[in-house]
Amino acid sequence: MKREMSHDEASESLAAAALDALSADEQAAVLAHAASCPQCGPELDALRQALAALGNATPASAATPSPDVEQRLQRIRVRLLARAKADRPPVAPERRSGTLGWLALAAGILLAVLLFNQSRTTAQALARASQRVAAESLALDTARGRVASRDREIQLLTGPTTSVVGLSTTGAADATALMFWDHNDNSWAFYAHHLPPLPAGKTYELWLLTPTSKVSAGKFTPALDSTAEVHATYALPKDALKGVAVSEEPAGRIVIIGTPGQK
Amino acid sequence: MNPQSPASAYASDNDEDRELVRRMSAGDTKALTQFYERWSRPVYALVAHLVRDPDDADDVVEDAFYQAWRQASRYEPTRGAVSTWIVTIARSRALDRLRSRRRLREEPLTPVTLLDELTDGVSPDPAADAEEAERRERVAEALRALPAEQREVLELAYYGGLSQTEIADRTGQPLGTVKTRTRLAGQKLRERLAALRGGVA
Repeated sequence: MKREMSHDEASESLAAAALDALSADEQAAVLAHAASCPQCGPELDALRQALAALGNATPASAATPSPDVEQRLQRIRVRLLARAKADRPPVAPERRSGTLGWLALAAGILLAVLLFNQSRTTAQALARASQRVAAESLALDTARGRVASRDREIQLLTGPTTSVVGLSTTGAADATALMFWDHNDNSWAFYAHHLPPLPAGKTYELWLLTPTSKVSAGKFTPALDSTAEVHATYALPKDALKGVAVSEEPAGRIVIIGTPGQK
Repeated sequence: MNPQSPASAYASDNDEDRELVRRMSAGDTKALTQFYERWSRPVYALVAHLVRDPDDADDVVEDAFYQAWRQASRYEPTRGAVSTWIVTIARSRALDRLRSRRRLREEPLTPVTLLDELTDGVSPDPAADAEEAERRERVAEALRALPAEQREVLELAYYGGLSQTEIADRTGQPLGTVKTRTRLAGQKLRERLAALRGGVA
């Protein structure tokens, strides 16, 4: 559909655009119109909002046949966080207010529309090129993030400054956890899952065990999905760590424990 | 850790979401963790439904949340709830994956029978609470209220990731008919869900 899109035509296609069910050219034309039209813009947002309700209500069991969803979610979280931490700080706000952004966008669209009128072929080529650039820059961004994430993961798992301690259960439940200790900045990150539910009035406490003492790295309670995450900063001589444990307090019963070298 | 279940699109829940997104835009990875805890389950369910391959779903979900982290400063509250934002990002990444895969090897399309899945034959997720069940029921109700042919178009497009042209090919209906049905379905869904939301607020 190689022509400028009228208001009537765009407004007829808003639902399809919200569904991303148009051809790339049509999609771009409808979005360009909606961005500058006081009627179509809010209407498109409202349609997206309604459709997002469908997304949020996707039946979990039907949609996720694999029985290990919780484990997958856990793995994704570890990868995601490693990636996010590797590139902190994230992209800074490009502007302080959204209004300026929209003005810029509107100006861009106005320019595109002018160009479009002037030379349709040029405008279409431009639109296609800019779509390609956007797609490629996103792909590049993703690739960079992946590489950074892998680097960080590798550093966490095998780097000279990081120790990993795997913890396993002392009881019947299949609780497991990993503790990462970066000697560089003495930061500790602890990720646990399948923790047994706590009896009322009790909490878990995370311990760093040294030959001469045990150091509390904080108390915590697991989330509803039996996972927990604890971050701490504590300086310890490199060879002083003999183990990591989680106890149920105040009883003091060890629930999971591990020693360096285990995974 | 956030003990709350994934929020619905209600304004009261959204305050907390907005705060999380604001902290994410300032580089707070704890906020990202909480945001992930709140939204990863519904997002994963949608993405898995669309891409139908667990390993692909993992990648897409990771990419979607990573994109949300990177672009948190671009979230605009006036344009919709945080739930809409993350779901839209995730669906868009899932469609990218689905379409590039289809281009590589002409995949057969599996039938989508969402309403059936929403209403029967689904063993409830033990973690899902009453609020979530209620939300599903509301969406199922809104879908039920659509004429069958409009519902079909909507489901093929939203959950199947099909374009209007693909839907026309697949259902054997003229493209014009598919377009009309898409438009009417969108309109009705919007009115229906807005009315339901208004009724609760």
